[in-house]
Amino acid sequence: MGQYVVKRILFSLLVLLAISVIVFSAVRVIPGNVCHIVLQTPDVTKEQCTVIDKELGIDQPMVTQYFKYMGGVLTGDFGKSLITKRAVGAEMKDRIPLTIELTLLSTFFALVIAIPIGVVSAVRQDSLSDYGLRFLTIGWLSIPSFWLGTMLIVFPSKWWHYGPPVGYVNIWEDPLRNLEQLYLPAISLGLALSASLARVTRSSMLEVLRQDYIRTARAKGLGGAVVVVRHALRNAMIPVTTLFALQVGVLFGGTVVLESIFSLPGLGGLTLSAVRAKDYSQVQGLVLLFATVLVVLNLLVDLSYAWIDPRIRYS
Amino acid sequence: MEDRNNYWLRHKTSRRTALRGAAVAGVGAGAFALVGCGDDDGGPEPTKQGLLPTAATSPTAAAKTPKPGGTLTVTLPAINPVLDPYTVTSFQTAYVNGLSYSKLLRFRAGVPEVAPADNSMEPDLAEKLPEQADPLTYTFKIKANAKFHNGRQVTSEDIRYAFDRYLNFEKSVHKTGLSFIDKMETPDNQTFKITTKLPYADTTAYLGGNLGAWISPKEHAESPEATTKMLGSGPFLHTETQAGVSLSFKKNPDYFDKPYPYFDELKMFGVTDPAKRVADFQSRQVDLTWLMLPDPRDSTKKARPDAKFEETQGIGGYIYLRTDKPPFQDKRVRQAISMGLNRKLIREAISKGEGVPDQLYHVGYPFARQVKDLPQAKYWDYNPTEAKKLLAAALGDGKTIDTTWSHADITAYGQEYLDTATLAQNQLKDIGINITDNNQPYATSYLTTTYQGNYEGMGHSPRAVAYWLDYVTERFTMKPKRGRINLSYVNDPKLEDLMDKQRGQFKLEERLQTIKQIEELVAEEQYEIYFSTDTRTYFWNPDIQNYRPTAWFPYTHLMKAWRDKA
Repeated sequence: MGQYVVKRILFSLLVLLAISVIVFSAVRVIPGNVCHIVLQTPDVTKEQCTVIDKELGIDQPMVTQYFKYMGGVLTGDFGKSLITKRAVGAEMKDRIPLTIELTLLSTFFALVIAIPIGVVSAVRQDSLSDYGLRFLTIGWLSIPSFWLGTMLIVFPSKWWHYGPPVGYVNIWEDPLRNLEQLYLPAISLGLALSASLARVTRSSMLEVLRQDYIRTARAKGLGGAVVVVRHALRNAMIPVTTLFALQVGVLFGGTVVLESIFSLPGLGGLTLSAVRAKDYSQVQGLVLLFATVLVVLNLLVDLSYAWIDPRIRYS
Repeated sequence: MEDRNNYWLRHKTSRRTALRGAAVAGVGAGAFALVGCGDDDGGPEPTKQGLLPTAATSPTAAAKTPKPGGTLTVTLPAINPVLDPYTVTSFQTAYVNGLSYSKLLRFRAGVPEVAPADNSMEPDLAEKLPEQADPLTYTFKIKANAKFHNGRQVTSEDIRYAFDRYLNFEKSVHKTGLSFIDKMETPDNQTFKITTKLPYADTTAYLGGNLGAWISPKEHAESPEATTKMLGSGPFLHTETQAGVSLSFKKNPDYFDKPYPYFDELKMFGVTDPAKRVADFQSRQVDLTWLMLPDPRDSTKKARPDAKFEETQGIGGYIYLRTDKPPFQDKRVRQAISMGLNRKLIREAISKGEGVPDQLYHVGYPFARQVKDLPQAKYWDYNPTEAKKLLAAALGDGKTIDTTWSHADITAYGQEYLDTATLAQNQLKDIGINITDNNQPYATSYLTTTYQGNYEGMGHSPRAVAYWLDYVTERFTMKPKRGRINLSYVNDPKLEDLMDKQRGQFKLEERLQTIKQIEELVAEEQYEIYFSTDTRTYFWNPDIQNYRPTAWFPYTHLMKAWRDKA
């Protein structure tokens, strides 16, 4: 088991290293001039550009730049934003809580919707409610979250003059207002995830419900709810958990567009504005962060497989 | 009424007053000429040919007694992360700079009795408009009670420092604009004297405008916080930034211009999604919002019949072309392009048919002649038959043009800008101009190539709104080098002579005669080809008093607004 864990961790580090090289190179081969970006005007002189290039260290060879950058990253220094001149790490630190909160809320909505639907659909297989729920989940899967988010903004304001409070308040400052600001984007994000989770829950439940031990439980005289919840659902959750862990990464990515639509100061909005402004250092830091989150999640899933299934551990 | 609100028309005679009035207003995405204003819920009036609003339809709350206190909330399309006035020219930065920084002079517009596109100025840090001993010298007396937000008094040395930094700081982007300055002197703590290299009729316009005019003290300007924090001597203290989302301000209790500001707090939200901007106002989450196109405007009027609104003329766009190369060096080709555009159809597709149909390079100025009054007006008529004839005469029978059309992507200027390009390209195909569309990412490509003049064939941008008359020079000069936005590579000695002439003309009537000659020349040559403007609407809550939108960027005028709590 120990060898397996070490192998997986080393492989993950290798992936992160490769990502860092790709990201670092990619932002530098995009056409455009950094000093125009820094000064936000096309009306700049050669001298101004020389000063800025030197200040940013981009007058040095790319390999030197890379090693300098990675040296900084290892000590927690991601460099400074080209646009705001703030430390990239500090900028991300300020915004991480909102994105995590939004991801958790979306996850909550996704689970609250998905599990009951998946269970009901499985227990009442091929009934009218099963068809109806499956139709719904396919519908949700096909709705892009940004479109749903826009609809959730437009129609309540049109019909009931309702809109979530503008701006952003920290959850510790005003929890109710904070939730009011976040629940619509969380639903928009969570709904698509709930659709895929519901479908996996259904198929997993169907499989488990046909197992001998379920039949035995019923034969022992246990009630329907106890059989479904205590014996079937718990066992059916293994593939659901795996899918869920992988989908959290997708949720993280989904925040990019939704935070912009809802004007929320999280990592997603920061990513979009950094890409738009071609803020190299900010984009680099963010992509590395997102990549790290995904790699760590994948690592955890891999490790959980080994924990769940001894065959993987010993292979 | 219109005349009374128009500085140029109000002060016709005095050379000095003409000088003072030569000032003026903002470059950019602002919209301007008022076409309707009020709180009725009837259908919008069609955009009129007249470019300036009539004060008769303005809100008339100024006579009420102001009620200080409360919070004002405003949505903007975006909040620029960089707030340092020395290193950016962005209009988005100018919006908010005006809340925390002061200038020597400021625009009068922004209150009910002044028309939105009135470009006249009033003293800001200066005690009064400048004294002028001769055509080259301007003397400003600085208000003795003016203090920066750190408590230090504003002195003439601070003004000198600011302009020196605009001129000499290596990262300054205002060097060219202020190059007319020869020397600056500070005879005493309250006197600032500026001497120009040549008689320049737009000196006060520039010194009181948005570009290279904000006074940020040395201790702040040279600090690392200058990029993201504002510390000036303006009406509001910048207290908090939520990057990309909001800026918070508090009333400056030591503001030199009492009784302003009235509001205790001010919050500006950057909402990039147009649907959310509309929804935020419809659901009463914010007090002020702006720049709605006709569809959301009508929906908002329906949802908020109580709201006050002001419809303005949008800035529109234009086509520039490489007039230094074939085939566009032939003016018949350029004239054909203008006549091959069905502007009415584009207007109908984008702006419900609203907007001012025909435009020249000036938008909105009261003195700018209407296209219909120009001898060259026929080039604005949609006439594909005549366009084909002109092309045949220039190229030969049956010949067509294959060219490219470069423009920015949707992120900067919105869907309507892209739609205009698509429709125009299809229309030009009908007269024999086959266009390959070159849709460029705004920040990474368009700004650094096309907008620098590095393009082939044709390009397309929104127009800037100039607050100083000499802006025309930047568009068309080749002296001593290509003007910053001479994207058509215009190199016309006759035009250069006229531009040189108007720069030194201090008497407005004389200057306008020269401007008219420039207008006719540019209309005949079709150096740039202009689209119609659209209609943009500002909305605000009915309890906000003494507020009116302006065509110019700074939001300084919000200090004069207050909320009627009754």
